[in-house]
Amino acid sequence: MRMKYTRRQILTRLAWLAAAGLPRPALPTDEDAWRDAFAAGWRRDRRLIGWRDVPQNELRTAQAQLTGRIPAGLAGVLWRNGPARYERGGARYHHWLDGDGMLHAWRIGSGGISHHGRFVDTPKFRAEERADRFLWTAFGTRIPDSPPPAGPDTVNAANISVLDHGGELLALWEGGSAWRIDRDSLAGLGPKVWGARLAGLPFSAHPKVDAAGTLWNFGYDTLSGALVFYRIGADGRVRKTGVLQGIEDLAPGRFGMVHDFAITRRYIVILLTPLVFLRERFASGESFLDSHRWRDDLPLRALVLAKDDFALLRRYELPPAFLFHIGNAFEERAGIRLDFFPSADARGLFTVQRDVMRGKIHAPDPAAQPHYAHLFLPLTGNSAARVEAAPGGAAEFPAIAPGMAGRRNRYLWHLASDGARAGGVFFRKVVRRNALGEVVDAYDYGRGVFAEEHLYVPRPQRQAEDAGWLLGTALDTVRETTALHVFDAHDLASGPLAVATLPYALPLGLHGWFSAT
Amino acid sequence: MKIPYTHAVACIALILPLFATSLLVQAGEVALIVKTDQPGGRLLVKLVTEADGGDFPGGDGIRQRSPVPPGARSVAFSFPGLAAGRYALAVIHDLDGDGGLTQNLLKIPTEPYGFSNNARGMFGPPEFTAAAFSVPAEGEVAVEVTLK
Repeated sequence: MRMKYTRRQILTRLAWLAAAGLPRPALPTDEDAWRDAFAAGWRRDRRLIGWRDVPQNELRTAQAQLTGRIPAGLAGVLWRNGPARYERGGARYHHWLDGDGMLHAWRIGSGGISHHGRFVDTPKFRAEERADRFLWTAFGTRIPDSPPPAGPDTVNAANISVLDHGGELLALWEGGSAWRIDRDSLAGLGPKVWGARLAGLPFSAHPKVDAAGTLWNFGYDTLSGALVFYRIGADGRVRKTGVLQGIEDLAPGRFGMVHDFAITRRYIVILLTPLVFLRERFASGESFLDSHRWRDDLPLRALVLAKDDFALLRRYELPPAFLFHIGNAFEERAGIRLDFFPSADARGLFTVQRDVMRGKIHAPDPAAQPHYAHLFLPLTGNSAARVEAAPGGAAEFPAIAPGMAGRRNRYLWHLASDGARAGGVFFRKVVRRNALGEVVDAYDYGRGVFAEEHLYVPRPQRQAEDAGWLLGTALDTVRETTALHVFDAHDLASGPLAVATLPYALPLGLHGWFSAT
Repeated sequence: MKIPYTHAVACIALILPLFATSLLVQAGEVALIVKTDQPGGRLLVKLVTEADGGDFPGGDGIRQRSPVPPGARSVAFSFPGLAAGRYALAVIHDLDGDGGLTQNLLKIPTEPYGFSNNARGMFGPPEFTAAAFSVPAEGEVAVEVTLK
């Protein structure tokens, strides 16, 4: 039988432990309240399986259960990343994007499909693993007694995406370094240092690789308001970097959280949302997210920079909107055409993606949902920049054929919700749009399934957009399994050609990368 | 008269112990232990007085340096003969041997560094006051700095 203590005995014991400098036993705190609220929510609503903690540091399935046939010619690895460690020492994070990154390898060959998942071994993960508690204030969770980080990489969660470039596999965050990964064991090998004076710089999670194999990326340093730009050769060597900083209305407090960008043949496009960063709030120990404020009195800004020297060429102001992702951009006769996924404001980030962590899935809210839209940025004359919303419901997680970044694409694939009946910010359909932006093909996973990002993989020896497969994972919250689906990318409606189902559910992930073998 | 160099050294060596006793009773001393995770390189230490604390960790100070021996995770330093007062320490682990704190394009330090009281600034180095400690007129103050 377990001994019961009186309140006084507990307090005496705590005082003694504190005096002895020993670790304090877990107390009922706000953190525990979130854990309990999630556990209660999970008993009511099984869809919350998408935000359950992964307590194991590795997951393995040698042979996923396969239905259908893996198409001939499809061989390689679908790498995926996403937050997965949500709880430590009784505490639970308060935001979906707080969790440490778990890198997944779905290895696809003629013999079948295997799965291996492993947490990215960052200094943060290692230190918190040793301490058996969260040590640092995270993206959306304030941790009491969190020491100020020595730099962004102190709290690097490496949880957004993954990149295979120049022979190196990298787990991507966006506030600090990319993290080198051993592609066989998935062991963490340390931060990627691109060159002298480039250590620890932010490297965003949506790099673009052009048809020549050159990789373009940016990084946004929130504390200084600086944008860093990278041009990296196909060999993985940095060719050029640049910094954009000190422009009056681009100072900290004027914009924040730049997640994605676009390239065209000659230009780089950056969209700056009016989700502004407040340094004083952050200095007072507030979480990164709660150091931001939505300012609907400020515009959505577009910047156009030259690709060759990263010089700022043009700036545009648009009605306020929030966004994570851009589909693609390319040059037309008079300007730049870009498609993206704006929402009216950032409440999805502040409420929907937070409340899932305490067991609440919001009903669909059109204002919170991102949708598909076009943006035109004139490069000549006096015409104004304009945004045109396209028909359709909530939409997110775009994909184009590799090498099409910056060129006029004929197709765009993305996730979509089923009209007004489902959605929130979670999606059960995958669709294909044509060059006019019309939905021409769709597959509906059905009730209780959350689709995750789907990527386009061209068939070997074919023009990139002409023939290929669409690969994506989906979480079946009814069966409590995650499965990889392979579609004919030009015939989604016929359903998957192959489905590889794991004997477990993975938490909802973010972005991936396909490496052909 | 020119005193031969070896002669002078011998004299100082003989006389010094006599003074050392009195120094110990008449001045304060800082005994510093620096802890670092990273092997190799050298530690650059600067002890700054309150009078020079205005542009801490820049400006004047008493400087010492020491290589990090193979396998060592901590290095000891001693600052004897100090007047009583408030002092602060800044330590850089100079891994690349360039004699300073290496920073990236955005001026984020890329070598380990630390300050007395293990003070950290939010957007840069801490103020002198955050890193300051007292040295008495007599006796030794033990200070430990963990580099990050």
